[in-house]
Amino acid sequence: LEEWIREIIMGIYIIRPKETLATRAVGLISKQFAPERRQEQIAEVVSLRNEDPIYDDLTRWLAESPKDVNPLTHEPDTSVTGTKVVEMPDEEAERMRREMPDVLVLRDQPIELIRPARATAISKEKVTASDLWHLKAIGLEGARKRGFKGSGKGVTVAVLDTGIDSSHPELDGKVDEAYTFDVTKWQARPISPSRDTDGHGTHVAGLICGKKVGIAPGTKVINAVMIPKGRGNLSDFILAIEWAGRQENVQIVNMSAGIPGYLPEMLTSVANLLSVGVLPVFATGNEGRNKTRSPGNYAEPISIGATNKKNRVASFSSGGVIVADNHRYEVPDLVAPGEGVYSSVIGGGYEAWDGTSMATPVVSGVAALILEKYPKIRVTDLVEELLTTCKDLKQNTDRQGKGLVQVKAAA
Amino acid sequence: MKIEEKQIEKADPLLQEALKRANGDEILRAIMLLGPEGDSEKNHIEQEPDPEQFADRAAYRQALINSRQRQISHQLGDIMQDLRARSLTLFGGTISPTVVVEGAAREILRSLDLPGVRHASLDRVIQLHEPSSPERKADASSKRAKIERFEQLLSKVPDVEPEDHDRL
Repeated sequence: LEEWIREIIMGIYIIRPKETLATRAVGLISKQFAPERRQEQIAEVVSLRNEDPIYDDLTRWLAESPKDVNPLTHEPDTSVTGTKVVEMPDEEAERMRREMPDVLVLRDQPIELIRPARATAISKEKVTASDLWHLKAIGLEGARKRGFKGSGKGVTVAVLDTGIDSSHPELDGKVDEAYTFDVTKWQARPISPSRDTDGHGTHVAGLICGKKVGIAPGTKVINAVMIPKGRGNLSDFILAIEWAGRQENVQIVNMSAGIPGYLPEMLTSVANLLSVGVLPVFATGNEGRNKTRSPGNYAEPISIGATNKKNRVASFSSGGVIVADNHRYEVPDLVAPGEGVYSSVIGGGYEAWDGTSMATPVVSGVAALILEKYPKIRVTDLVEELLTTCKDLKQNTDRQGKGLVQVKAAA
Repeated sequence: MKIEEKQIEKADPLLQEALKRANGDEILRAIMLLGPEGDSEKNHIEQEPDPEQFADRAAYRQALINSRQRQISHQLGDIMQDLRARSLTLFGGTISPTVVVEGAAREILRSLDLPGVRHASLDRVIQLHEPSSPERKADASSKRAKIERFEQLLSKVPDVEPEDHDRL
């Protein structure tokens, strides 16, 4: 309780003179943009500050202040800005404001990204044909025009994610079952109605089987809330994979979560999914070149990178060379539309999101279309069908894998 | 606790650290990869069912699941029994040789001496791949930060027994 009270009454404050000699005399300081001049420039600023009476007063005020005023920075840490970071009670901060009107006393606060205008421009109530570029990129739009009727009927995908909002019109009647996981009891608990703890899973599910935005509108999904609010544990993953592997109606597992780097802990669970006839489709991550996450960077699952509208690999799409157990291979295995992809959002409407998380359900949808056409193929043959029908984007294999996924094998 | 060289070889760095710092009775949760001895007859693999022999995919998958469960039970039954005999709670290990093991740190450390325990790691956080859209990223992180902050504060508020008139 003591700590709690302390957090409430104590604050972190950013303190500096409102105007310093250095800022007033800024014209006197050389502004030449040359690295070799940098140290000299810093020395000029520090020298001007040392002559500043306000700064002098501030230093003295802090030195004479009571014990619970605790400076967190030291001079060399903030030599350029001259800012001091101090932890102190709110009433001391008030006293400082009263006694030192020329000093700026600002309580620390969370810093957030400035949202770009497109944040509102990309939210829509309805999607138009031009918004559905991902369907065209994978050859689905063209195939449908030529009479392709495949919808992934009879296939079920387990979506190991944050949940799925089944009330979205895109997903009406598409969510077969919904579960949360309790590792301490090793239980998958049914929940009703199906819901989403974050919104991510609803966007993902829409791309698999959404009425308009989905690749395979006849496919059913199971909502497996493995990462509530975007966070889970390794043990949740092991439980969810074991559970999904034992559901005879599940043919594909779709997941976009992981741990940075290569961690072998989840490898056998993923390999065993394949041995019980389930295709794992995993995102590689959104950290660009030479940075991947496990389990998306294992050799066993289909690992997915993202492309943009120009059919180029998106800069954020993770990929690279993996060396593990005396094997060397590249991830991703293939790429799919994942930048500016429209899908369903929690509560209704549509948004365009970027991420390999968006590319992964596109591939799960294509795999569902293939399974509908060839319900008796082995999972290894399904992998072959996906990999051998990709469109070569003529980019490096550690960026594009085999290329952009296509519906050719199903159509 | 003191960890022997052979035990270190089987534990990931996080588990090594947790075992070193833990007192013997502290409860830990680890992920263990189990496996029979290299030349064991238990390594025999059943012939995989042919999908063409089944009426539909669900029946084929059920046959695969049954086959896998038989294999795992045959290969790992004894090892799992050894672990349970050390008062460890085991989860999983039905279709995969990876199990979640929970119990006293002392017993988890001792179990690393068993030849059937191939590797062990400490349980850890797995996270969603955040979409890279700046607006979505900012929204998700700020929302999560707020929830985590609230949960942290809540956990610090001491439990207070309700007064009699608050009881239902």
